Amino acid sequence: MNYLKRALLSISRKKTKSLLLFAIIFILGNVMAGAIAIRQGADNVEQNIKSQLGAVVTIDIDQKEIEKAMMEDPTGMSFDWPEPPNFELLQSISTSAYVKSYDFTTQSQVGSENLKAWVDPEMGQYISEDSMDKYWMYTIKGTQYAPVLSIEEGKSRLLDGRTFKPEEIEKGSSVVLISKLLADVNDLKVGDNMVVSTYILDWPESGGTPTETERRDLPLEIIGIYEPIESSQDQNSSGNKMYYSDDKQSKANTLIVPNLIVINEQRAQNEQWLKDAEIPEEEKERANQVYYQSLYILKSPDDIKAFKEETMPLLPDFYTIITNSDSYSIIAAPVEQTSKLATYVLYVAIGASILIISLVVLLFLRDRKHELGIYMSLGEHRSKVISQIVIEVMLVALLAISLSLITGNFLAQGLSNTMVRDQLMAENQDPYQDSTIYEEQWRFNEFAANISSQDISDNYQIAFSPAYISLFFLIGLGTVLVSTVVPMLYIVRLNPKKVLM
Amino acid sequence: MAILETKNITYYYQDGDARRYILQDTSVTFKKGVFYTILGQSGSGKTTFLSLISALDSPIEGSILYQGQDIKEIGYDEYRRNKVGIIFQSYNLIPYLTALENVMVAMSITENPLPDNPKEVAYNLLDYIGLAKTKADRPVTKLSGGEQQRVAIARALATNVDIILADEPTGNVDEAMELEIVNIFKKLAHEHNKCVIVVTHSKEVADRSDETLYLYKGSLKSHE
Repeated sequence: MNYLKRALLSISRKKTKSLLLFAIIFILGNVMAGAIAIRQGADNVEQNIKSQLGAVVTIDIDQKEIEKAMMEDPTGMSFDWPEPPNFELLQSISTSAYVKSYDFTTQSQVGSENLKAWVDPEMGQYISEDSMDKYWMYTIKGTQYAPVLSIEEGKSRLLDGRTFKPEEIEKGSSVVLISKLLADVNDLKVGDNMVVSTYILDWPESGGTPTETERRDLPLEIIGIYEPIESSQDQNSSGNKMYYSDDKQSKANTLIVPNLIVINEQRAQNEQWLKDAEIPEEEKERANQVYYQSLYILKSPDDIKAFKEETMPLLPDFYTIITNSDSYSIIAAPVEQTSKLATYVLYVAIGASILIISLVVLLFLRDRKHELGIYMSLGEHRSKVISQIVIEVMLVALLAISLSLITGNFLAQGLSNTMVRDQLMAENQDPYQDSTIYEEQWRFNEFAANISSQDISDNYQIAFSPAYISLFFLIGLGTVLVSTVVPMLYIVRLNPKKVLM
Repeated sequence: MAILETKNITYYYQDGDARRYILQDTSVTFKKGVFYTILGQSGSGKTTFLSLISALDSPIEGSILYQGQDIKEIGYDEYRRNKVGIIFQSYNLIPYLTALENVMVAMSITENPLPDNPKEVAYNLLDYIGLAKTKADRPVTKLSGGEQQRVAIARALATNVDIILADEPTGNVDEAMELEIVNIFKKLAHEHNKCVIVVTHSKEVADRSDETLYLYKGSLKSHE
């Protein structure tokens, strides 16, 4: 009749009390299980999405800081527009141990006399031959990285030809990589030559259509044909078809050239624009400054925080580091909110459980106090007296918690459908969810996250993961253990006479 | 040689700034093979004295020696586990267990050597005390007061200890039962060489004991 057998007999012979304890722990267990499941669901979706996105960062203006500075000085008299980080700084940042690969890109808009732009059939109605689009229908995108980052990182596929040679990048050779869609529509192949043009336009003061004053032709030799790879996220994204169609069209009409080509075109354009302008030389110099869009691929998404800490102090004022997963927090706001709520519920549930279970155990112990005194008067080891009660409560709790693990999971699924998925879907119907998504597309191009509410909803899974089960049992049984041991310690520290009284 | 000895034990209750002395500098010796009774008026401290020599509580001053060794050194829990058997006035049985299981609880707690077949020993012990097997398997809540007291006595004996301490064991039983219980105690002292100490307010029980001690104004006086 050792303490273990006594514990089992106590459970089986005092059925009503055991069932009452079971019911209380089961109810509290459901609240805890539900809260943990929702939290885990939210954590998983963030982890999944972020690992799918990788870690791509760029340096750009901190809009919030700029707005703040402007608010403080509405006249703008003392506000100096910040200088962008120069090439040397971008280069030194690229030596960071967290950086896997990088590129500094430039871009400019060009047109063409004889090229035919690829137009998405779905967008066709918005383009006309006579429109001014012909002056800037194509984007020449300069690269500093000869193997081309998007091809190396699997965001684009090289279908024919080659990428750049380092010396071509260095010298600014007139070579180009074009998209398959553009090649097909113009019947172009590797080795062919093509011409794009920079137009200088004269805009009438009264408004209306500009006249072409000068045209700089830029002959380019096609060295490679590539195809952007659509991610499953691109294909699934149904939030704003027009936006994604526009993006596809823009990618198809992008020509990849060495940076120097773009820089030369930008300078030539500026020269034309600035030659008659009556502005100080200093301003002219400033206008000629090259703006590089930097792109750093980090080794792991876990490095983002450390990279930020290392790099932020080096940046000029009003510049910050932006990652391609920053938009996650905006789109996943309902998930984050629910996760926060679930965290609060979890804390409250743990607190309430400790309190309620402690009170219930105290009530039980009040009934059992005399019995405990008897064991102590018989000389039973205090540890065994505690163990008997702990085993009784823990066995009942184990059953209740195991059952609430299943029911709590169902509860969490039901709650998630209402709280998370419905809200995500509702937001998905709004095509202009947040301007950040568009800014991100502009900054990261192929590396943009393009996360939709649908992606988040698809990745939001409440499942029985080993981590979830372990965490729940740890919290559930831990709570019950604390609730039992604390009042028990209070009792067994007394002498048997006091306990028996 | 004395099996149990109290040396100048003092015990009092603190009542505000005042102390209400229950035992004051009390020394007494108990031997094996003797059936002792302790008499005293209600509130004289009989039960307190018993709780001290059974180590349910500890004296404020003085010491209690078991075979010459301070029970504090032995350890109060170990002393209760292996040296004494206690019979309470209110029986103090575990309500959800049977009579047999109550006896076996004590047998599972003690570290004294016991026979290999504890269940059989417990049945025999209950039978010896006067509780048949059919009743031994009943929950104790289904037994009469006298039967429950028999279970309590059997439990105290089951651990094979030298000292049996009983607090008003006949307080809740009729005269016939009282006589029966007293006879059991006598047999335990005389035939089994136990030291039996019974706290009682019954003059009849005291008259049947080998030695009676009176507790009066905090001290124990022998009255042969």
